[in-house]
Amino acid sequence: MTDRIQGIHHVTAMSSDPQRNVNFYSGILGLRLVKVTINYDDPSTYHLYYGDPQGSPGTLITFFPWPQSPQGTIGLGQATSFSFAIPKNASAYWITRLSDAGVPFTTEERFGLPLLRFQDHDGFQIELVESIETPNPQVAWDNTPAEVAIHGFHGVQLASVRPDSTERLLTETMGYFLVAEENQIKLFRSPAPLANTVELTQSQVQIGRMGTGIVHHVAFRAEDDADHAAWREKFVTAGMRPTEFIDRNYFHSIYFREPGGILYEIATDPQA
Amino acid sequence: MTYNEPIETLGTHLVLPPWLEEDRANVIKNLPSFESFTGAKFPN
Repeated sequence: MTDRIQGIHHVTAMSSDPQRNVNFYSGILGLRLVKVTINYDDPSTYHLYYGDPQGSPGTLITFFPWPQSPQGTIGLGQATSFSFAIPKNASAYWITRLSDAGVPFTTEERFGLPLLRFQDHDGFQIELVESIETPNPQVAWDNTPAEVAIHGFHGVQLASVRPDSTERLLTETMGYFLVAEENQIKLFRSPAPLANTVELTQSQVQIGRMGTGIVHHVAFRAEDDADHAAWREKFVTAGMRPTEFIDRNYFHSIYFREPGGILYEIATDPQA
Repeated sequence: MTYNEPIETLGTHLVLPPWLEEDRANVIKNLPSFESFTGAKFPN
């Protein structure tokens, strides 16, 4: 069994119109639409997967486009934002690209890394963080060269109803290290080369409400079925109540709500 | 994403789980239309 979670596998979120979703995530952010399927629990809704050209774990943002859904409220008990990793010095390119697309943004630096912060049409809080030292040529796709392309997730930011308990699960069970803290945000890191950060913010005060513009769950990686089973045992021992194993066709999953109210999934990497 | 599908065809067609394949025509009826950046029209 891996003794530390190897980063984020995917993030799944609730969006509105599928065409607007494709226009934003493929057209503006340059991500490849790598899978179009349906929500297995609601076959009248699509499930759209975007990622690098290979659809690798750690790069996958997935959406349930549900045009009739009411707008959600970002707050406690949720992943309140997600960030993508871009190469060093790529911000200038993205400033032009976002400006040309009419997407307002702000720039800042957090934990020593420059980032751009903006929202999509559904209100998702998105960041592009300059955290890639050496661009990977394999992430080039369509009109976005590898030198500036999104390489996958940098991480997620969580707002917990019980931040101390969320922190304990991250560090004592999942193997994340607390590496820094600034402006009411704690930064945790896993040893994975990509999708390896989790931030825990204490600046949110209202309880979140599920709906459009809200992250549904954050999925973390398990190496294979044996690793998956071992992690399930470990979470049971830690007092969580994970589901039984669920076949998602492309990977196997378990789900549980961590003590701070955020829905976690543990998903297996694709097997050869 | 690639273990059961060639990289080239990723995201070009609607993939249903095996237990819904037989009912594909009905499933498609309930899905809104959209077009991807590769030109693929969904549902397909």
